[in-house]
Amino acid sequence: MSNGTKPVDALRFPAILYHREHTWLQADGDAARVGISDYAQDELGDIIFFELPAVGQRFAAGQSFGSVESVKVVSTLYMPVGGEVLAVNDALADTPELANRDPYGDGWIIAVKPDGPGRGGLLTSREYREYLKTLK
Amino acid sequence: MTYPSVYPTGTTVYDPAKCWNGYTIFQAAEEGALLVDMNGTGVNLWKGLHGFPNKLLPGGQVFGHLGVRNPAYGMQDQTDLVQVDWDGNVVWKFDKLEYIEDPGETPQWMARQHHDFQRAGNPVGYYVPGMDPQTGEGNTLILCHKNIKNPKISDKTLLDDTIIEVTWDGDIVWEWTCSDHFDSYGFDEAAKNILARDPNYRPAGGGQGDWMHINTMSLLGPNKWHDAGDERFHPDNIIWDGRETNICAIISKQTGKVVWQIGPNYDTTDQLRKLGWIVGMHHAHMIPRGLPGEGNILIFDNGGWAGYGIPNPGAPKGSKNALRDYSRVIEIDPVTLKIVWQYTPAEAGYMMPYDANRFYSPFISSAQRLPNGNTLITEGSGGRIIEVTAGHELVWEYISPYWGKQLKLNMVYRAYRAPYEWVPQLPRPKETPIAKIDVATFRVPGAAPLAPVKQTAVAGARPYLLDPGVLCVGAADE
Amino acid sequence: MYTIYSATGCTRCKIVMARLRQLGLDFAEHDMKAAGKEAFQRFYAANRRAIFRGPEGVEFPLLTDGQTIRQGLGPALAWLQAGPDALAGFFQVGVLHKEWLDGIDISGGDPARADDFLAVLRHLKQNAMKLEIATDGGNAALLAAAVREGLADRLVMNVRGPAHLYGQLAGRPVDPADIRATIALVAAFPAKQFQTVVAPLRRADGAVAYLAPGEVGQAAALIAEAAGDNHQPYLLRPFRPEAAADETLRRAEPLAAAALLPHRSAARTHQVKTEIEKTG
Repeated sequence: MSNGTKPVDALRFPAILYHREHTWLQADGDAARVGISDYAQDELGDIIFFELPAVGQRFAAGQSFGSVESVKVVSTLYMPVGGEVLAVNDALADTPELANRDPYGDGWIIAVKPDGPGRGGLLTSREYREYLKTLK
Repeated sequence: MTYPSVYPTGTTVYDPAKCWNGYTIFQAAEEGALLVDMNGTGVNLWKGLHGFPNKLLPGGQVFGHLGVRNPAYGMQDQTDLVQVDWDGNVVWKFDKLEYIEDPGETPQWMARQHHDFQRAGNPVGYYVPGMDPQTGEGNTLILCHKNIKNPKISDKTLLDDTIIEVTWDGDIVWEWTCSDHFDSYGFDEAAKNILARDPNYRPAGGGQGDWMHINTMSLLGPNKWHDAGDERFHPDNIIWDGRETNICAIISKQTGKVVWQIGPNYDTTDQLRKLGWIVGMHHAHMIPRGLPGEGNILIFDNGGWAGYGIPNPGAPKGSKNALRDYSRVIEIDPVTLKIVWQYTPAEAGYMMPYDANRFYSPFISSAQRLPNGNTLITEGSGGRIIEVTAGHELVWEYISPYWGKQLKLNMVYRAYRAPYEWVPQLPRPKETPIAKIDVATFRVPGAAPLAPVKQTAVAGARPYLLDPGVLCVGAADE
Repeated sequence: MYTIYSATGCTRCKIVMARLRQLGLDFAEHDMKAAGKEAFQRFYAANRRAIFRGPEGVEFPLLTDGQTIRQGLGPALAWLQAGPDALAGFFQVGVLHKEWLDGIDISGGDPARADDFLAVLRHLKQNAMKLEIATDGGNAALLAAAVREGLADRLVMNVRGPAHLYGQLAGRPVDPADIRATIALVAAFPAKQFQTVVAPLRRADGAVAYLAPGEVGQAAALIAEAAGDNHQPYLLRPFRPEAAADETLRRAEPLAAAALLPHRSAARTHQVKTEIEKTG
């Protein structure tokens, strides 16, 4: 992907964990939410569709759990941790651009029950920002 | 620096006991492929056989080319690569890479070969015990040219390097193109900038940028690094160097990708800074298994002018921005990048840096490791071929007596030593030692002897006290 | 009532809308970059399997009447010219941009609809489009008509293979005279390209095997014979199994680019400018 319009420093990365394939993970008690980063939504441009898993499906860390489609590209979504899907953000079906407008809030994609406490390989917001600079 | 206008040519120094004796093949300028014995006797001149380079094969055969493309349209494009027997018969030929129709010329297939080629059986094209090149079969790797457009590099037409593998029957079965890997060569912005504006533009064919100018290409062959599990040094992988960029690279035969590289910059790590800036190099190759130094990389580091980068007073536009006015032959460990042997003006006995350019060829040249540990060095621009021992003793020297009529140089692109056994047509030649002449006492007819006819004592004159510190200029690194 | 999904600044969308107005047809426009964003999202979610994506994403315009969907300038105009299916096979969604339009396959449609087909080309030319016309040799007379009228700006001929395998590779019976006539037309055209996909095919013994170097050499010889020279721009293209219609062929192991070198050697004997398409 290299369609983004903004420099990395103009993007927002709250203090949560990030996967190198541009999904994020935010703990919420025993569960956690997963979405795409501000960088990902900027690169995608206008998002028009999400293909999402069913509740109860299990995925390993790094495995594809769905895809996101914009006018420009179709992109695979990767699990930041292994776990079971507890919920899917139904609002994305009618309003996929929520992930453009609010990627860390209303634009969350799925909620998962992580397989364990391990978060190996995920990046802090600072590390993720540095990593992105190597991509730009 | 001073060069005499009169000096002997042919063999000028020869110590048979310390040499690795054999025949030497080279391209005698505008004459043909010449095979000489140690005393310099031309034992066979394949008249008119071009050589870029010539290489001897077992059985008294020789590689060369029947012609060269009109330089108005092509830059260093040899029309073909041929294998010729002792009597001058072409026994193998490849030319079917590109169909060329130059204005006023007969349309024809051309190999557009330049600088190098390797026949199966031997990785480097020179004698290695137990690795004779095949002569009646086997594939051949050939370094060729092709013209391309690649806006990533420059908007100008580029003269690109391509390596092809052809079968004995002339079918191309593998192909690699240098510019395809432009992004991986590590050029900085300054280099990209001048490359885009002047990709070493040469006038042939309405102008073409000879941007990389690969001038050597050989296989690694079996080696200790790969035996130990280092896949970068797979025996099938290919090593080349680019004169214009100061890059030496090993590419994977499997993927075509660069797997090992030095240059274009030599100031990015401590290892590279110690190695020193390599400028306009030639004949970088891995010393094959079975020869002393096997697994190391031998390079003729010409000096001269090469590279793309930040402008400096010697290179106001940043083209050919690395400069050095002497040459060095270096043997490096490809893993540590340490120099394990070298032959520089210092080892040659010249006072550094004041007399350094007495060992200097700013273009062409080569180095071949011999089975007894000696090194055959072609200091090409002055037509000088020497054999030095591991301890840097000069045991053979030959100056080419062949000056070109069109190019007034006695240059030798690359000479190779081959064993006597490779020429079964001839009895083993007589080896007559040639002691090094003391040039202080040697006189041409009519010249006066050394000693002054009168010496006059000067009252009060004290002894000379000299070291380099008294010279008008300091060394660059003082 | 038609609906057109467009994008701000999309010239091709404007050409289709102008045509709709010219024909007096009612339509609603949804600009996916502006007020039509949500309408487009709904349309996309419901029909995404039928929507083509080129290298730069979803191609516009998308024209629909609620039942039929046609995507891209050529297919949309063809529909408006002659109904949804009459010119099927002549026009597909292309991948070229700006003034260049591809996806026009002169051998892919029904020659009985030549008048409508040429009318669409004329309309495109009137709108300052440059047309890249593809052919595999069928409908040579139609190609001759298009060339004569100045409706083509570049010709690309897919030479399926040697004469004896041509029909099998094309998936329909072919007239050898038609193929030769097309080769001659393309060869004489200023901007042209001959190409052959080095494809697998089912052989007499039932096995599936790729076109052999010798067979590609025969294809090159066919071009030389019909073109009258051996200097035509000729490109060999690797076969992409995933794009094959036939399921057996879809399972074929793709050939590495280097595997085409012997084909190139064989072809160069007859067409000296033969090259292999660069991929990746």
